[in-house]
Amino acid sequence: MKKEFYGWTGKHVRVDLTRGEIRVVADDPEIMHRFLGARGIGIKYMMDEMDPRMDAFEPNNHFIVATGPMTCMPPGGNRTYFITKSPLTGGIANAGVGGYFGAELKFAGYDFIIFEGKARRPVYLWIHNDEIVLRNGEHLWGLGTQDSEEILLEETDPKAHIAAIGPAGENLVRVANVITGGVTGARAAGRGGVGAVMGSKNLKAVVVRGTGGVKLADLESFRKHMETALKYWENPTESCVKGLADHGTVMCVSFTNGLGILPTRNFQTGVFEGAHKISGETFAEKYSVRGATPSKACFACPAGCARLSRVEEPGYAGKGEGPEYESVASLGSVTGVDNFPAVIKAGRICNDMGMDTISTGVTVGCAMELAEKGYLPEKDVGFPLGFGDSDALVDLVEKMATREGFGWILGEGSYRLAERYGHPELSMTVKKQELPNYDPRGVKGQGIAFVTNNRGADHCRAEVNCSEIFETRMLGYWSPEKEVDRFAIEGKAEMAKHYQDYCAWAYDSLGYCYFLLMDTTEEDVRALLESATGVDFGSVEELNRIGERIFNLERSFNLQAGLSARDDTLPKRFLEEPMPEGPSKGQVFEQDQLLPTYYEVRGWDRNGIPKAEKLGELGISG
Amino acid sequence: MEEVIMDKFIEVNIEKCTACRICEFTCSLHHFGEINPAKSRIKVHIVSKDFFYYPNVCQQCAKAPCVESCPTEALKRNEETGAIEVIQEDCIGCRKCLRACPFGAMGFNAEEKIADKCDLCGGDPECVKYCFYGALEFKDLDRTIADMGTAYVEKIRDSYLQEGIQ
Repeated sequence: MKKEFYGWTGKHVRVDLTRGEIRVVADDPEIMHRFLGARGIGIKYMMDEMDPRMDAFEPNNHFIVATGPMTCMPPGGNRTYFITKSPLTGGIANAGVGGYFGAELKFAGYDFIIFEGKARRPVYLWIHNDEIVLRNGEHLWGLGTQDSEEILLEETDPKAHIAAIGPAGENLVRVANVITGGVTGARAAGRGGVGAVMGSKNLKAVVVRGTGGVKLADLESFRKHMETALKYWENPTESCVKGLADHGTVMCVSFTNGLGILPTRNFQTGVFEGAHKISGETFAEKYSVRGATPSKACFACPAGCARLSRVEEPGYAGKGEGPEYESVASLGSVTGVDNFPAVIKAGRICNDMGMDTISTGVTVGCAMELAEKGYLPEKDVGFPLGFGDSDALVDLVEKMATREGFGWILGEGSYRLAERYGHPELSMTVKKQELPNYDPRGVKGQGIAFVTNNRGADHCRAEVNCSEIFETRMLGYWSPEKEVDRFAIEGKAEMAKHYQDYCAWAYDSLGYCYFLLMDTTEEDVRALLESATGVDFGSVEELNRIGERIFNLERSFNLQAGLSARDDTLPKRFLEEPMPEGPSKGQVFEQDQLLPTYYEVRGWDRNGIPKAEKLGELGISG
Repeated sequence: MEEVIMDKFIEVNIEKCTACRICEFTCSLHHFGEINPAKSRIKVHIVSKDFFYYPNVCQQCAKAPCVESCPTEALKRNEETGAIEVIQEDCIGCRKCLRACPFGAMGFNAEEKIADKCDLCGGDPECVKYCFYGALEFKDLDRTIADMGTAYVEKIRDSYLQEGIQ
């Protein structure tokens, strides 16, 4: 096997926070070839080195920060993953983020960092090429991500890139995330409470400055394939890819509302009467610093889907990156709030406090429904709570991060909140993680992906909706000649598996952003990977097999951690209550038909346990 | 010495820059065969808190302070492309040019220990080719200035005519 690494840097860092020891270790080529990087590498080391039954906040829980071989390469290779055991789901967490952090880590010379143990006092890790030190972080403890960012840039290097937690992570809020870029440059590694694990380790931030290079195996071939991939971008499909550049993800508010799947008032309906007030059109007109134009990009990305917002309304004034569609829907339609400045402010608070906007909004929405139904006493909240109350939204989001008053239980996430008040069925979660903003009754393939994704309800680990509602050529299901019926269940289990396996290698383990692969073919991604790394992976089928290996290893981790088929379910609202109105009216989610088919397609038994021959075929053990 | 007037330069339109840094990627790949923004001859300065992104690159000045400061005449203009280039064997790495450049656009190759700068890729800059939203444009300066003059005069004319009608 070749010693020289291309695409990968060939080294990683191991940090023992308890002992304060730091080691630089050479990558094992066999592991890199079998698991690629990022999410794949994460589950490999988690499975090999830690006991899945351990509590997420125990010091021996590993915390892995990992890039992929394509992180730092166009189009849109910029992702970093934070892999650990989730304090929210009790299973695997792998939160991904764009921005510049991952590319900078590779320029410093490292593919990934494995943290273990717990520092005695707050610290941050400072990596400046070969110099790696743990520094005192006590002066940063309690500060938001924006202040932390500015102080750390002063203390280290103005060109450094930072991944930090805010007070939510410090306070072990189960939906705390990791923020890169502060509030004004925010990109969030959002899901699964990875920020709380960082907080439990007294690790405030990882700061990186790298001035080295990453080598490519075959420059000419890479350039050729890169140009092919960029061509798709020059002539993108209208509905999705072009809209992303011009309007950002927030454009989806009108779109999903038009399909009747915009989660509204804790997913009671899919049509929000105030959608036009929190839409991408309204955003571009009133709050977008650059209007409807590409505003801000992550490293090596031609799209520039991030938005820059400035709000001047009294009480809500401020500036920040975002908001994204998921944030606007979770904090807006899910809570019934159509006061856009309040929704944007709630999103900024989340970014400063370091808290997942999806889980935060859905948790507040859950509290509102519990209160309206009379299950949550007014004295516990401190005021009469109901949908559409924008003051309550901002107030509860703040309290959730600081755990002040009623925020104590909100910080546990919606499942533990609803369970405490006797109605866990009102928590819109799978595996205790809050649903993102596509009502599964109106997108069945996306729904079965929510049910079965290893990190709980989540859209990013299988964007089946790229074929079901967005007109993208991803994986070849949709084409201008061939629409996909979003309500149909036939073939959707197979489609979800294909998306999950593809996602596991092509974006999550290589480091590409899936937005950039929406029109790129699987074959093009393989060609980019092989010309960058110089490794012959055989075929797209072989790479999908790697994705399947990663997915099954995560499933095994979850099963060992105590999760089971019982956790593969949407809340009964989606299974029993037909969508009451709008273009998806009358639809329910046919889980009883979709799930057994899915298990079968996966090669799992009817209890959702991978069969021995499946694991053998993938070269792993359960 | 015959006076040389630059003709083409890379214009920066900051309102269109998304800070994707593909220019840094492509510059370092083209000139050094690796992905390395630290070696890139164009550098995007990002000040997130001000939403400010600025790709900084040599302006190929007509009366270039870098050329004037060089004690070994290692910086010379390429007559064909108009780019000021480093004559590698003549450069002693004193870095006077780095201090002389008012844009801070002169670079230093730490491995070779010599000055390093934008040479317009021989007249067809890679960074401009890959800049998706036109933050970088390769322009003829004389024509740019002439166009600016025309645009200004047209504006004056329009308001003159407007007032005349009223």
